[in-house]
Amino acid sequence: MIRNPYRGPLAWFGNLGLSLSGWLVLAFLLLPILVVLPLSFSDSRYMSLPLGQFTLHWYEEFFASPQWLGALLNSFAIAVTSTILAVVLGGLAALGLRHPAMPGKRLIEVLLIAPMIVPAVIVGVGMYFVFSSAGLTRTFPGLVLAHTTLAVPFVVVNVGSALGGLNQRLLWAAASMGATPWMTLRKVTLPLVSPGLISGGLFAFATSLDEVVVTLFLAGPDQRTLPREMFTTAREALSPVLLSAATIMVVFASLLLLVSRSLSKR
Amino acid sequence: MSRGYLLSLPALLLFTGLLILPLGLTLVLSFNVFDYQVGVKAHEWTLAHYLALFSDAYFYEIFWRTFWISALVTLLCVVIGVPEAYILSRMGTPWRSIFLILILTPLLISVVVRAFGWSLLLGADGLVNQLIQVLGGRPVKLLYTPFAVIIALVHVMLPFMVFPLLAAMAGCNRLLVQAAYSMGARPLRVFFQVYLPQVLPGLAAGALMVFIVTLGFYITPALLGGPADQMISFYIAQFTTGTLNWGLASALGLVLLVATTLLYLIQSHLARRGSEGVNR
Repeated sequence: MIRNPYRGPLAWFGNLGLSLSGWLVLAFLLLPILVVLPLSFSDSRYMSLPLGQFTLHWYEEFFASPQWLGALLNSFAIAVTSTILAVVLGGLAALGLRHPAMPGKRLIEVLLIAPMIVPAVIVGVGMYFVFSSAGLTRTFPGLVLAHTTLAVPFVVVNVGSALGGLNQRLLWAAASMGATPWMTLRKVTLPLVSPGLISGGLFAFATSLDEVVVTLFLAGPDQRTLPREMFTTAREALSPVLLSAATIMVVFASLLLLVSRSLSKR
Repeated sequence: MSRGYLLSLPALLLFTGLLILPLGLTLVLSFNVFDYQVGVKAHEWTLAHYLALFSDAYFYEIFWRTFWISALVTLLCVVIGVPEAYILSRMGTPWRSIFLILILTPLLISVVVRAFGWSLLLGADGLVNQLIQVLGGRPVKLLYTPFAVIIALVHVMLPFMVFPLLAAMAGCNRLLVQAAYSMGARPLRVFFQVYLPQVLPGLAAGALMVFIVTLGFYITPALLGGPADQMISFYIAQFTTGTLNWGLASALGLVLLVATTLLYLIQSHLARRGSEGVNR
C-alpha cells in the first residue's frame, strides 16, 4: 500500500509545527522593531514596561532640539542630493553598459556594484584617508559624494534589469522612422526603463537615509545625520528621545516600502 | 561602442576617486612605516603591520572571534531559515505575499534602529528579563554579551538567507518528491535524498552570503556587545580614528577585504550553479 505522506496524524502535527514556527520567526523579526512604537508614547523614563501615561513628550523633545531636528533635515538633504546624483550617474552607466562588445565591460560592471560587497568599514576608512588629504572630511559635498558612491550600485542593477527587458527592435523601429538618438531615448527608452529608475532611486534614497558607518568616518559636527546621531546617543546614554527618533525612521522606511509597492503594481 | 564608455564615464570618474583611490591608498598605507610621533612615513616601506597581525595573539583572538560569531550566525540562519522558507514556499496566495512583505520590512529599517530595539528587549529591565521574572526566574545579563550580538545579527541576516532559499525551493521539482513517495520512501529519506540535494546550491549560496556580510559588521556589535565582543571592523575603525595607527588599520582592512572577496567569488560561483540547477 502506498502511504499518502500529506495526510494522517503525523503530517497534521508536522504542518501545525511548521506553521507555528513560521509565526514565531515572524514575531522574532518584527518584535525588536515594534517594541519601539508603544514605548515612544509612554511617559516612563526607563523605556520599559509597564507603559506609563500617554505622552507626546519625546516627540516634542525631538522636534524642539536643534540637534535632532537638524540631523533629520540634514539626512534628507543628503539623501535627496545623493539620490539625484546616483540616478543620473547610475542610469547613464547602465545605458552605456548596454552596448554589446565593449572591451572591459565586465570589469566596469563589477566595479560599479563593488560598494554592495566591500564591507562598509573598509570603504569608510579608505575614503577617510583620501578625504583627509584632500580636505573633504567634515564637508557636505564630501558626504554627498560618498553616499552617491554607495547608492549607484542599486541604480545600475535596477536600471540594468529594466533595460534587459527592453526590446532592441523598438529602438530600430524608432530609428527607421527617422527618430534621432536623443528622441529615441526620450520617447522610447526612458518611458520603458522608468520603473527601473524609480525603484533604483528608492533604493538609493533608502541606502543614504540608513547609512551610518561611512558617515561616522567622514561627517563633521555640521553633518549630523539621523542614524549617526542615534548611534552616538545610543552608545553614550540611552535617552528616551531615541524612541521617537527610531519611530520616525520606522515610519519613513514603511512609507518608502509602500511607495515602491504601489509604483511596482502600476 | 565608444558611446558606451562615454555614458559610464561620469560614474567611473566618481568611482575612481571614491573607491579605487581609497582602496589603493589603503593598500599603500598598509606597507608604509608608521610612527606615533610623525604619523605615516610615505617613502619608507615595511611589512611590520602584516607581521604584527599574523604573530600577535591579540589579533588571533580578534580573527577567531570574528570567525566564530559569523559561523554561528550563519548556522542559526540556516536552522531558522530552511523551515521558514519551506513554509513560505508552500503557502497560499494571500498569506504568502503578506509574509514576504513582513520579512522584507526589517531589511529597510536602519540597523541602528534594530540594534536599539534589541537593547530595549534585552536590557536589565527589558521585556525578556521581565518575562523571566514573571516566570519565577532571576534576571540575566543579556545586553553587552555575545548572546545579544549574535541574536541581533541573526535578526539582520535572516532575510538574506530566506530569499535565495525561496528561489531555490521554487525551482525544485516536486514531481520527484511525489515519485519517491510513490515508491515507498520514508519522509526523512525523501527529504534528505530527493528534496535537499535540489535545494543545496541555493542553501550554500545564501549561507555563504550571510557569512560574508556578517564578517564585516560594525554597528550591531558596537551597540549590543561588550568591549570583549567586538569584531574585526571595530578594530579597523578604532585604529583609524582612535589610536591613529593608519598602517595597522589598513593592513587589518585589507585582510578583511581579501577574505570577503575570495569568499564572494566562491559565493557567486555557487549562486550561478544554484540557478542552473533549475534547468538541469
